[in-house]
Amino acid sequence: MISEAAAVRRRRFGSAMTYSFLLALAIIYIFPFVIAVVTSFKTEPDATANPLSLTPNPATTSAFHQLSADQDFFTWVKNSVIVTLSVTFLRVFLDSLAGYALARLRFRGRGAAFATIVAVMAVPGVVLLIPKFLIIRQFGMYDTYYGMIVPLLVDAAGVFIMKNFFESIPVSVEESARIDGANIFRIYWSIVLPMARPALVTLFILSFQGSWNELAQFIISAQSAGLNTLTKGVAQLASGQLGSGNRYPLKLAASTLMTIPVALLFFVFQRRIMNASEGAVKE
Amino acid sequence: MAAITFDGVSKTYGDGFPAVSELNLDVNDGEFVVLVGPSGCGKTTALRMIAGLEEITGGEIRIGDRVVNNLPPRDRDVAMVFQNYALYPHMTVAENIGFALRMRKVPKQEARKRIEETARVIGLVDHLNRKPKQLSGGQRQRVAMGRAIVREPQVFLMDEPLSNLDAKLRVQMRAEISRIQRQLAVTTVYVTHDQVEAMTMGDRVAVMRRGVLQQFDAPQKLYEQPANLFVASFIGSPAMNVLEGTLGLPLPAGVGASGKRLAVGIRPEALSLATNGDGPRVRGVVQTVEALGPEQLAHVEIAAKPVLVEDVLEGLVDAEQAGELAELMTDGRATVIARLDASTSVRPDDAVELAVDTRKLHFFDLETGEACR
Amino acid sequence: MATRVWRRFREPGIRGHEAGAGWLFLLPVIVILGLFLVLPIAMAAWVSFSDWNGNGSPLGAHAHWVGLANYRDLLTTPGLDQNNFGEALRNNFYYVLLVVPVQTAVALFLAVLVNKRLKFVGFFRTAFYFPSVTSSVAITILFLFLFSPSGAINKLLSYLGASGPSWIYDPRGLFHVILGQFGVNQSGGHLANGVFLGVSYWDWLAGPSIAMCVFIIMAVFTTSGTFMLLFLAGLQGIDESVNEAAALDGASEWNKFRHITVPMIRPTIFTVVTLGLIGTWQVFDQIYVGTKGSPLNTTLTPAYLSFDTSFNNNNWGAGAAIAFILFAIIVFLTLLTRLATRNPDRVPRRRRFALTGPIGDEQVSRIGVGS
Repeated sequence: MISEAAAVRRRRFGSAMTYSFLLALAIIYIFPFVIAVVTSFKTEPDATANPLSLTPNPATTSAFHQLSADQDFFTWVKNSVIVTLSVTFLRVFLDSLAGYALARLRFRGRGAAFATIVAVMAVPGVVLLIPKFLIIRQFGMYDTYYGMIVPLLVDAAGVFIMKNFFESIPVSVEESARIDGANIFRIYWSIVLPMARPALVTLFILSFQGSWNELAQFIISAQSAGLNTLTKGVAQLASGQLGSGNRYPLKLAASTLMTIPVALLFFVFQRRIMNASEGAVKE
Repeated sequence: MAAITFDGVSKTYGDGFPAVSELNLDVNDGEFVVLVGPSGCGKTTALRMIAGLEEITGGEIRIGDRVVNNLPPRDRDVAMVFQNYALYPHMTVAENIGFALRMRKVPKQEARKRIEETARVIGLVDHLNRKPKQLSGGQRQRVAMGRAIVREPQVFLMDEPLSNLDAKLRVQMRAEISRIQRQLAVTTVYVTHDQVEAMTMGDRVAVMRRGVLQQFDAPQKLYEQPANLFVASFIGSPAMNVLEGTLGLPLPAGVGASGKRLAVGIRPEALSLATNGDGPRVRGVVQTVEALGPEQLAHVEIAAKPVLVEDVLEGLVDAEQAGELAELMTDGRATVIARLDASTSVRPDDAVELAVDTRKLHFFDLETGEACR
Repeated sequence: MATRVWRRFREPGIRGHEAGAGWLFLLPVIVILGLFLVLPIAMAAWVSFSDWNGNGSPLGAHAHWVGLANYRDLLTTPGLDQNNFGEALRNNFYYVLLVVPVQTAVALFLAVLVNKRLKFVGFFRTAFYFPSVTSSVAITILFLFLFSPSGAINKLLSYLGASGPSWIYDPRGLFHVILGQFGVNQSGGHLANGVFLGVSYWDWLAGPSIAMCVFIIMAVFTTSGTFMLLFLAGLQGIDESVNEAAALDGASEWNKFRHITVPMIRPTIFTVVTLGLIGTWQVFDQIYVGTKGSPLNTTLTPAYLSFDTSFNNNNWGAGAAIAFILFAIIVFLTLLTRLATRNPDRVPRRRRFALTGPIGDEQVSRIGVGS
């Protein structure tokens, strides 16, 4: 048995340990990003010579100037925006339709359709790289926006999220609308969908994140430089296509800029995102 | 075994809410003490402070002679039975019971002996290899008790262990818990909101309300000498009839001299149908009669005002009664409940005279709610 | 017959045209799934059995049936194809072997820390989850910078008195390096001569290359946040009173974790491990952005090899075959973990409690017998 005083000391020590662990880990997790941002403002020699230093010496925005001077970068941004917005809005619409059908509408084969979608989720993404390429080419969609957007609309997880959400809405709301004479699409569009806003927002955010950060799909669906998205363009940067060597400030500036939209989205909606991540992957 | 002492113990939450205020309580070694009161009265908080599951913001708690304010739960040698049993779902009954022994590194042979003995005491020898989800509610409750018993601790703590069981089982288990406690002679603190449980199980009962101890006495004393209006209304079922004024009833010596406004409390069994002409009586009209087999409860409307202060209302466990009383408040007429023998013939709308047993009257100061002695 | 169908349509019953609407709503998703998932797989399967070289359509005249030739070239016929495939398998195997346990343990550790009711817990949760939100491209570039020979990590190590390796340029296997410290090296003839899938036994023992280790660290960095959230959900499903009961029973923090927490989150652990397995066997993006397989093929993975063989070498048959073999590996491992997860209600033999003596009447107290 221990004494009073020792017990107090032991408890305070336990708390202190936990805090110091957390702090140390947080520093490890945040530090790389801090370095990335800081290095974007360094000159190349400075970046190579003083990789750890947190103060650029001298501080310069030349990396950013280079990026903006290079027309390519804006093309990348434009393409990313086009593809991401298209995929996101379409996914939200299509997934909510499918989710509603699976949750509320009764029709033969509903079970089978659901089982298929679940089975689909099981196919590993990377295995599908070549298959998707073949089909895209076969349909003549290669090197077009369609080829980049349409395959990304396959989103079983999104259908799941919507289906689960629709199931949690009380049926009575829809039933009273039916009695009032609304047809099925009306019920879906004007009654149920507005009520599903939280799930829709979640789906929007996750889809935005997923398609903005996507790389492999864009590699296989297009080859012309004019269709490069940010991910593909910056990847080429990293592979040293603009001259090899340590153009670190440039590369890190590009990475930083590329990360800003998703980071912003994350900080604003973090609670939603983190809750969705926990729930969506439950089996 | 050990005595437990609460010395001016308080617990205030961050927002200032006082869960327990200046509690002073002494539990003797080997005693069975019940903490009882309506929900939110602080009884569970007080219990958890003994266990070390709640921080103490003021005062001292001693187990034996040691001040345990900052001692972690695992070092207090205290066992607790939780309201929801808190069994380890992934372990068998034997492993649940034996977990504490494992933590104390009790040698395997001895542990097995103790587990088996405990299993016999709680009657679950045949279920030692089952998991909690395969057991009934009553069986799970017994495993929770077994977990506490096997440890042979200084103190047993029980947090409403019977509230999740059905009525019949509850009555059975009450008797068994009492028996086990007497057999093992371990100091026990038991929390419940059910005053019947409190009265039948406790050596002494502590009535609490809003974090403040109202009275701490043997059950009979609580019944016969309630310290205030709240205790008077809380203990006893059906509740004590509390009326304004003294109804012309004789006051004990020393009471009433100071000119305070008084209230009188008459327990239902202090009223009987008047047979001869002597003694104080109350006249009224019978409203309803409830036949309960060996006795009857007659609701009689009399010319008196009921006392409906918070103390009384909060003490009334029977919400129905409270509603009834509130209805009649405007009329200035109270309905008292009289416990009558089954052979007495009364019917609704009868005009009756009730004799009052003056030895069983209680008088209270209407301002403070305190009993007048 | 036709009138019956027509009448069914005109008088649809109380549920209206629900069946029709159901399929209509589902149609876009089903069509896209069919066209861009089912069909592609079928096409790819065909290609894996063909010798298509990228000209024209694979369904056309340029593709001929070759049976299992592609698979044989990868698995059984000695040659460059088999060599590369063997190395890719070995690299990915060690990647999986190190990443899955480490990321699971780290994620659990983070979740336990974050689950305590401390102030600023939200900040820490955000910090740990943030890397999962960024793109693999950004993270890879960042890590290439940090782990470059003159980069931040080596600078840090130099402050601690150690000199770091050249990281992504270093093809030496980790285990080879460790074994080397004990004087064990290739001179043992048996290990050098035996070959499996074109890679010598000795090379199979190489472990991940130092370069691959950079990717391993990167994987733990990016995924621990996501899995931390999964573990958090699992931890919060444990009723607090069970922890309190354990505390009263004398369990220290470590004992509580080992005997109560971990067993009670078994399902979550298996989910995390399964997801980890599925994810790590598919590592592609980072290799494409970072090293593209070098140095010396030690960061080559089956996924990247499949891509490279097809898109860069126009050997589509082999590329498709690699993809399907990978598919089989992943399915196999998933099923394996599924089997291991099944939670028997029967108590295993070693945990069974056996009674020691007969039950004496004097000792038995009958409590609510039958309840």
